[in-house]
Amino acid sequence: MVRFLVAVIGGLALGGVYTLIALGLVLAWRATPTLNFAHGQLILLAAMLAGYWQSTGGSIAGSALVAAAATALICVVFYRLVLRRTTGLPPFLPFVATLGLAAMIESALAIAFGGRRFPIELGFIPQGTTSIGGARFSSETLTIAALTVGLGVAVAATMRWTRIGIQVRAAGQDPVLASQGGINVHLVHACSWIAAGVLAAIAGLAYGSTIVVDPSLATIALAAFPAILLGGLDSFEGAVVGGLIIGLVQGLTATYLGSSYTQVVTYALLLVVLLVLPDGLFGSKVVTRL
Amino acid sequence: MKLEILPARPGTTRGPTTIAAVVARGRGLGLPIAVVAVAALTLFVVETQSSYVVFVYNSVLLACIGAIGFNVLMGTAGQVSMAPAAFLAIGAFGHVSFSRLGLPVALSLGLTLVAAAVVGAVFVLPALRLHGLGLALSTLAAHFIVLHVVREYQLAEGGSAGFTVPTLFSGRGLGYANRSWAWLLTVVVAVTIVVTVLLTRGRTGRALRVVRDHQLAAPLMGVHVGRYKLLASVYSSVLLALQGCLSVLYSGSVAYENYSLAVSIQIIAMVLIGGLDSVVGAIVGATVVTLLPNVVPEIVGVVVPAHLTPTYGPQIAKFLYGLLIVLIVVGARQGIVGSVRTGWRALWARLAPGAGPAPAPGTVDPAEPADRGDAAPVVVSRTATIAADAQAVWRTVADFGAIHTYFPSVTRCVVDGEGVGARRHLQHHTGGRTTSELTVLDHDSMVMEYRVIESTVPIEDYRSRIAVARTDEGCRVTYTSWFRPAGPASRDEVAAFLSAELDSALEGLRRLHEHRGNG
Repeated sequence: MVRFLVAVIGGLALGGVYTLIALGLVLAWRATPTLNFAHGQLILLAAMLAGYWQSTGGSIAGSALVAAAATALICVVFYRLVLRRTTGLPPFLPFVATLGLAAMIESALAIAFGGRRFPIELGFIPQGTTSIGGARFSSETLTIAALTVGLGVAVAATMRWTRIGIQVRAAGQDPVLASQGGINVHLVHACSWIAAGVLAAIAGLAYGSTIVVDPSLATIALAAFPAILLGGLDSFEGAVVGGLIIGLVQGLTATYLGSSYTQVVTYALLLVVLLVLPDGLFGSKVVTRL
Repeated sequence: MKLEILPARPGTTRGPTTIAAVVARGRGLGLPIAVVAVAALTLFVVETQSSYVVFVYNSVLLACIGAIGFNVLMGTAGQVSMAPAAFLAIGAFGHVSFSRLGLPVALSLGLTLVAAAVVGAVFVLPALRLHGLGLALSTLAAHFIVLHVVREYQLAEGGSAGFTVPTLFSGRGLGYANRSWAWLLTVVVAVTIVVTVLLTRGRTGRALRVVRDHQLAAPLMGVHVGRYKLLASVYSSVLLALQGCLSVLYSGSVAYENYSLAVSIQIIAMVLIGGLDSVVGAIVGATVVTLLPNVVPEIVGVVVPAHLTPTYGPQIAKFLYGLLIVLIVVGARQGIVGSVRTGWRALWARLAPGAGPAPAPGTVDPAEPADRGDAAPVVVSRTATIAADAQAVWRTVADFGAIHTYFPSVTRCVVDGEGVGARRHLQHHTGGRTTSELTVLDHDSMVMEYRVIESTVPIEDYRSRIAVARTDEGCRVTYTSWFRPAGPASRDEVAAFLSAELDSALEGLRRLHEHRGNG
């Protein structure tokens, strides 16, 4: 029972981070039909910058600001200079461009920081341990899980019920109709990419504070691909649910099979979803007419 | 009005077969020239260069095998796979495991390639019914599953340092081994080039391109989309595994850490940088990406202190090919080879008399309807007289975003940009989509031209000109289209279809202006 609780709560803590990453991916996808492969590198960039800023004596607020500004800037520049020019081209080309962006960010970070590792201290997080059902958890993990899941739900709710959310969904679904309805489609798309960048920065700080930041951090975004596919690729609710499910699956796998199996189980799940449920749990059905 | 199938614009028709014409077209000679060039280069490198240069040359040849194979999947069939590194790993570890069972090299190689073909077929399954990024996601899964298996195998059987296996041509010194490998790899690359060119230039190649460009329309032309995706995936998997296997036989060591996603991105970069859907492009790309880490330290060594170059060199190279990927997606989608070819053709068109671009407005020559072969574009030209002010009609035609007001089969039109270079995205009443670019807008002679960049309609190299001329009764509008049919429908059928479309557009223009009164 204690083991199960550890698996579930550990998994949900991870799932909260996946939720944030998945939401960033879905936002970008809704704006420009582009699967952003560089999201993991954006997360790494944010965590590295925040860690470096703190190591030179900066405050946590300052480092968060620097990190978010950097990722948002890269996102909006990439959207403006690259993705705006790939409208109407086969969808794999912008995806391949994000591979190029990933290589650029990764190598730039390697040149700037080498193999250095940084801790990130979020000052406001309570320390110590909390006991739930006989199992002891670090308060830090629990707080971060609660914060990330809460933020994820808030973003999904914003997208579902507010005017801004409707504009973002409309601009993604049918840019022509949306623009005729008075929505500034380019502005909405640019803001979606900025929001995706900021979410990447938050995910980087949240996850980075639980570990020591090194270049392998970028791989965390790869687990969010199965999450958004499970959720349905274009659904914000799906991103939250998918992120939590993938987190849970990884938590259970790590506890009962061993941590070396988490990736292979996650991706086997991705394959099953692709074959059995290609539109995911919440995704819109793809209908093509000739 | 009668339908005319006009000759192509000068320069693209099949003229007399002079040497100059053959060179200008560059067809038919490419394959033998490529094979002879590779062999000559090998002879030069092996006979004159140091053992280290031969080693680098061999690395390039190895990379060419996989890149040429991967180009069939990504360039010709238009499917992005994230698992090329995983197939290199299958090649490497397949050979290790079979040879540890005591099998001879040839048998081990054969079984490894069969295994790669099976894995390539299995992981393309989810992508058969999906399109877009289905293959990218399922091959991402393939990458992690394959890497997990080889990692477990290595940790269980070989230890953390990996495996050491016997190499070919060892025992008579490093120089001898490198030179022998250069010749072996030259033969393999030459065979790969020939097989790939033969595969991709005939019917199979056209079917693969229809799957890439008009996936929805492909089944209507009798092209089985799933079968061709399967073919492309298996072909590229086998060649990547061959590269993986040969590189183990060359270097003698294997470790799972060498097959990361970064390696996959590197192989994608090779195909994209050289030029999609081009065997020469794959070779150029493999050469550039393989040589970058070797060349960059020499260049940055001028700026950066010498002791830092070993650290920075590979990272700067990685940054450069990342940047090249982005630049090519944005600005030069044909890659290095395509850009050079375009430049060469422009130069040739300028130097060779009679090989100029399109004829001037009003000089469309209706003669010579006869056999032009499949290569020549079809030209359809329709004319209508409209009893309305020429300026008013021209204003409608010149408004790039107004096509849906007179073209009946266009239901929606949205324009990005202004003037020449502007792009318009059309939706057809059938649900299809077309993106075209305004290339000429001449208010003085009242001529506009556009070309189609991307379309769900199975037509290639489509461009159109609309010319308005003032007459006594009003004006005469000529709508001319040049294109190549991309499906198996006959040229006459496609031309008849398009001719009806152009007529309906001219009729639409007439209705718009004659009912409105003169102006």
